[in-house]
Order: sequence, then structure tokens, then C-alpha cells
Amino acid sequence: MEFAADPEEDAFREEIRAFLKDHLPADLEARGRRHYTATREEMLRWQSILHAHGYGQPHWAVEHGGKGWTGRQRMIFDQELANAHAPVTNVQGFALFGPVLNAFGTPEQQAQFREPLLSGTVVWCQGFSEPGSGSDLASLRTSAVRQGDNWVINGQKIWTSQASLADWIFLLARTSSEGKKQEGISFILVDMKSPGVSVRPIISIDGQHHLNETFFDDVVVPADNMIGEPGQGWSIAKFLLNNERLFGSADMPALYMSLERVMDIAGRQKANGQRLLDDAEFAARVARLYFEIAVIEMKMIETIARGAMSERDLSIVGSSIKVRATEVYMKLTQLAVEALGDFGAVAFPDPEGTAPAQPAPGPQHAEGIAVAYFYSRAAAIYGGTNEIQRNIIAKAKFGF
Amino acid sequence: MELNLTDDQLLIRESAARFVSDRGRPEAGAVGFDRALWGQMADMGWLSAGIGEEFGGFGGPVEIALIAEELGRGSSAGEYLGAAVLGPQLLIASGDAEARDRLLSGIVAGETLLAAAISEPDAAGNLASVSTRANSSGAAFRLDGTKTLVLAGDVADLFIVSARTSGDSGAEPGISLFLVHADATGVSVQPTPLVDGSSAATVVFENAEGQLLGIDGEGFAALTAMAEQAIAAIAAETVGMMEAVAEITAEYFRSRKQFGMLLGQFQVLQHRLADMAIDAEMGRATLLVALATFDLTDPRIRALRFAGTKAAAGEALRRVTEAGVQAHGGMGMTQEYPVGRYLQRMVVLDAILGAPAVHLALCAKTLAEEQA
Repeated sequence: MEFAADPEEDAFREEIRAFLKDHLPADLEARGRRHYTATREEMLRWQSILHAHGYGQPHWAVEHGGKGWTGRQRMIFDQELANAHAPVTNVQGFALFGPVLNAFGTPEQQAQFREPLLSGTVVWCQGFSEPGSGSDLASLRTSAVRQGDNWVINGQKIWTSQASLADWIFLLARTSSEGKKQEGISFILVDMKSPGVSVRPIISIDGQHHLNETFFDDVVVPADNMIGEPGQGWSIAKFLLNNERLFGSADMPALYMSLERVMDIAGRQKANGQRLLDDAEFAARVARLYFEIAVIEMKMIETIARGAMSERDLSIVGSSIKVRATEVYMKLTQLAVEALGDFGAVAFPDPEGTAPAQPAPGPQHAEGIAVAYFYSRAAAIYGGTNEIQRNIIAKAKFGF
Repeated sequence: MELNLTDDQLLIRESAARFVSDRGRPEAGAVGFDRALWGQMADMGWLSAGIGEEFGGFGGPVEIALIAEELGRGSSAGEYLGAAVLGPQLLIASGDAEARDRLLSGIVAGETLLAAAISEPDAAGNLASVSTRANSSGAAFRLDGTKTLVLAGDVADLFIVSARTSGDSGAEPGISLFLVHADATGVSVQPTPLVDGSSAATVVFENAEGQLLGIDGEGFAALTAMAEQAIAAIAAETVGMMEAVAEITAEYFRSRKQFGMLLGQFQVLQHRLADMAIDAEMGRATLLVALATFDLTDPRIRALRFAGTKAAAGEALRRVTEAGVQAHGGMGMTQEYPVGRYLQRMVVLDAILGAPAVHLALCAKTLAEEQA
């Protein structure tokens, strides 16, 4: 073992910082300091800037338009972007769909879909969950029936984040009801402008609109829009989820940003005549989470260093990180609300949203804090609830 | 950062694992310092494993961690932490070349047992909380005071004692280190067996002769360096213990039936087990955070991260060992069944160098100062 800092790593970090200093627009940074959902325009503008400088998705392989960065470089990049308050880009497109496209897409599909994604001209959303199929995803019922050169899709998806902003959706649909339920599932790409696609917003407990129901009513999709073969959808979906077992589970940017907010607020807020951060009990709770973040970061480094892992080991590590990181994240957003005292309970509408309050009902650092608290609940639900993660660990590690 | 073990490190881990599995866990209710075990550790070279090559050893914190983890798994690290880590590391950290060269060869051969007498009844984990006084008397010093939780203190040949030559308790300057013979006049050793069966003593010094180690009044830095080594060793022992508790519990869940079902088929119990596994996974990362900190130079960051390690490892170990006992129902309460040993050991590790809450408060204070 050798723990000494790698000088190349420091140079790399400086390179990223310099780029951010010169190219992160001030309005995006200001908005990134708060926790309101990035708009479509913000996501795409930032992505186009990243792409123009070769940072479109730099950890992807060179033949896929990336720079072939190592996992460690990706971690540093993510950390610097978070510290600079850069907007979060289209997760569904980059973290979920992109790797599937790269691994399973035909050359034609890759040529059609990759460049628009990387250059920041399209937004993707994911159609997996259905009203009757949440944790038990394989029970999904949305159907795709072959008619000539097309698939005709009928059904309903739910929790489709960003569907109202999206140009395309990748979805799982049932193309056969024969055999095991996993075997009849296929992975299909649908243009959201297709006739028969409709989106209905779901306003979440944070008062924001990112979630949707998405309906498919005799939607005609060219057969070329299937990724892989009919029936291969389940294994592609597993590939997609495994791909995100590390970076997606940890979501380090959310942790860094949440910690920074708690420290900032608790450093300003007075309680009993002193800074809240000088209250031993409150500060100890912050300190615990501060260190947990360092531990999760180290778990990432350790896991990356292990290299290729069996699916079983990846499950154990990935689910462990998911549970711990989301718990830390939720505690941080809770502490931030608590730190605001009276203003923790006040509703702060998105100042750039549809119904901004004029003037803001309290200090600027209170904006977005309650929104972040409510939104953070989702982290322990999406990608498999923390209860499902525990089931996975009990099965993978102990055989139960 | 390179996290793969070298061939030599792999060998150490292998031999430690084999040693623990051959030996089995200590007998239920076994008490005291196992001299035979100590001799075996010396024979295997483990007492040199935490000592740098420049002083005749062959390792450092990683090597200590590899051994401590395996011993922790076997619930038998009591001797190692006290007599192989704390005492020798304090000797090296003291910077006293003469004493080091004179004593180290006997220590690593298992012939001389050196214990660190560094805590006091009201220290609460603060190594600067030193009331024991040392007054110079010609070339030597005379010590007066009481040291508690002196690991392996009941069997030690020599003590390194932290004592104050100036200042008041709590101040870092003015603390010095002294070498004191266990059989010297004015030294009374009262054995205080610990709840896990390991060995310690309360040692009272009354006008006892001590030889100054290092520079007068500048002993605190050495105490800190020793504590860093010990905290990393504890974090490693904790990993082995947590993995063992999870595995013992899983084994129980595979064999015990109630209501016609194996315990492992109850989801609520599966989740308790999963929580243990998560703590064990993250515990290994906690250990790596500690090990990586030895390469950092900023003393503030070092203090923050070692304190964080002690707090996080301690809290996780408490969760896991308490859950382990609970998962076994009545069996968990018995001295005979192994899961309880880990709970007992947790109580001891919590007390050594200060409880998690103490260290969390240290982290909190540093962080608060940081946020100007």
C-alpha cells in the first residue's frame, strides 16, 4: 500500500479548477449554490460548454467521445464541479443511457444518438418504473407489439424525472409474455414528440416539478430504435444499474454541496448568542457527517482500485455505499433545515421559477434548503429503495 | 495512492489469518496476559512489524493494521495493542535514540515488555490531561501520580510514563516522557483485569525514579504520534471484529429455526445483518482514511482525521456488536457463545484513548474553527 499524494493528481485538479474559473457562467454558478432543479436551458448550456472543452463525458472511452479518464480522475472532476457549484447535467442521458448506447448500440445508433447527447442538444429521460412495478420492476406491463417495421407501444410509466424537458425516453417494454417475466422485456428508444406520448406532471413534496407520469397510447416506434435484441432488455437494464453502482450510489457531488450548505448556514446562524456551529451538540452532528463523507470517498477510491469485480462483490459494495451515502445526504439536508431555525419552516419559492416571491421571505442562504431536504428523500428510494439494497446485501453476502 | 498489498504484506496477512484460525478464539472467561501467545508473536516477527526499517524493524502502520485486523477477527488483540503498539510506538516517537537503541531489540524479541502509562482517572481521552508530576533530582527525575488503564501494565517490565515538569493539567507544553522500571522503589502496580479479559493495571508512582526520554517538556508530540498509530490499529482491529460478528450472526441465522423458519428467512433480521455488513464495508474505508493520513503533513488535518477515525470506528463497532448480541437472543447473553466477547472488547476499545464522543467533539471544534 502507498498513500502518498500523486503529483499528477494535483496537476489534474488544477487543470479542472482553471477551466471552471474561466468557463462556468456566473448565473449558472449562482443558481447552483441553491438547490432548485436545473432548467432544460441550464443543463444544455452547461453541457455544451463542457463538450466544447473536451469535458463532455471525459471518463468515457476515447472511441465513445471521451478521454478515457480513470475512475479517480472522474472523482476529482465531479468534486471540483460540485465545489464550483456547476449545474448537474442530464443524469438520465449521461449516467444511465450513454453507457448502454456505448456498450449495446449498433454503429448506426451510436452515430445517431451520441453526438446530440454529448454536445448538449438533447435531454433524455428514463421509463422504467410503472404504477404497479416499482421495486418489482420485472413485473412491468407496458407493451411493445411488432407491426411490420415498427413497434407499437402502449402503457404507462411513472416517476419519469425530466420527462417534461426530455426529447427522448429510453424505456423497458414487454415484447413477449412467454417464459420468465424477465425474458420478455426489451429496451426501446422513443422520441417524446411521437404521437400518442403524453406527460402529466407530478409535483413532489419539495414543491418542485421533476417527476411525471408518461403515457404511451399506440405510439409507433421504428424497429431500429431497439437497443439489443428483443428480450435482452432485462440484462441491459441490469448492466445500466450495475454501471451506476459506484458513482451513482455515492452521488458525491450531492454530499459535498450539502455539507457546504450546512457549514455555511451553521456558521452564520446565531443560537444562544453564539454561532450555531459553536454549539457542541450541533457541531458534533456535522462533524460525524463530515467524516462519513471522507469515508465514502475512500470507499470509492478503494473500490476503483480493486478493478474488475464479480457481480456479487459489486452488489455488496454498491448497495453498502448507496445506503450509507443516502443516509448521510438526508441527514445533511435535515441539519441544514434545522440550522435555519424559524426560517427552516418558511416556504421559499424558486426565485427563477414560475411564481417567485417578491421579496424573498428571509435570508438568501435559506433559499432552496427546505426544497433540498424534501428532495433528498428520493435518494433512498430511486435506484432501488434502501430496503431493497439491504435485501441485496443479505442475499449477495450471506445467501439469504 | 496504491491500495494493493505488497507480497510481504500479503504474507503477513496470511500468517496472521492462519495463526488466528489455528488458535481459535480464547477460552470463554480467559483472563490475563497470555505470555505464550506473546512469545509466539515475537517468534513470528510481529513485534517488529510496526517498526520502521531505520530502527531495525520491517514495517509501519499498514503492517500493524494487517495483524490487528486478523487478531480482531479472532477476538484476541488485547496483548498486541497494548504491548506491541502503544509502548514501542511511544518509545520510538520519544525521539530518544539512546533508550531506543538500548531497548528495542529486547522488545521485539519478546524479552522486554514495555507498557505506556499515559492516561489518568479524569483524562477522558485527553492526552494533555496530565497531573502526574516529575521533579528533577540530580540526573534523574522523581515521579508522583496515578496512571490508569495501563494496558499490559500488570506484566510490564518497564513503563513509559507521561508526567508534567511544568504547567497545569490540560496544557500541551510541559509534558515529558519518562522510563520507569516496574520494580523500582515507589512504583505500585495494581492489576485491573478488563471486561474483555485482557490485562491492564493502575500504576501509582510515589517518588519513583524515572529517566527522561527525549526533550524535557516536549513529550506531547510523541504522545500524539503514538495515539495516531494506536487509532489506526484500533480501526483495523475494529474491521476484523465487525466482519467476524456479521459472519457469526449469519451462521446463527443459517442454523436456528423459529416458527418453522430459519432466522435468516426473516426479512427484519436480514436487514439487521445487512446493516452490520455495511458498517464492516465502511469500516474498512475508515481504516484506509486513517492509514492515508500518515502521509499528510498538516497537523490540523491529521488531528481531525485521526479523531474522526476513532469516533467513526467506535460508533460503528458499538452498533455492530450490540446488534450482534441482540440478534442471538438469549444465546447472545452467554459468556460461552462468542458474540458477546466482541461486545466486551468494544467497551475496552472505547475506553482506550477516549470514547467516540470525545473524538467527535474534537473534530467538531476543529471544523467550527475552520468555518470563519
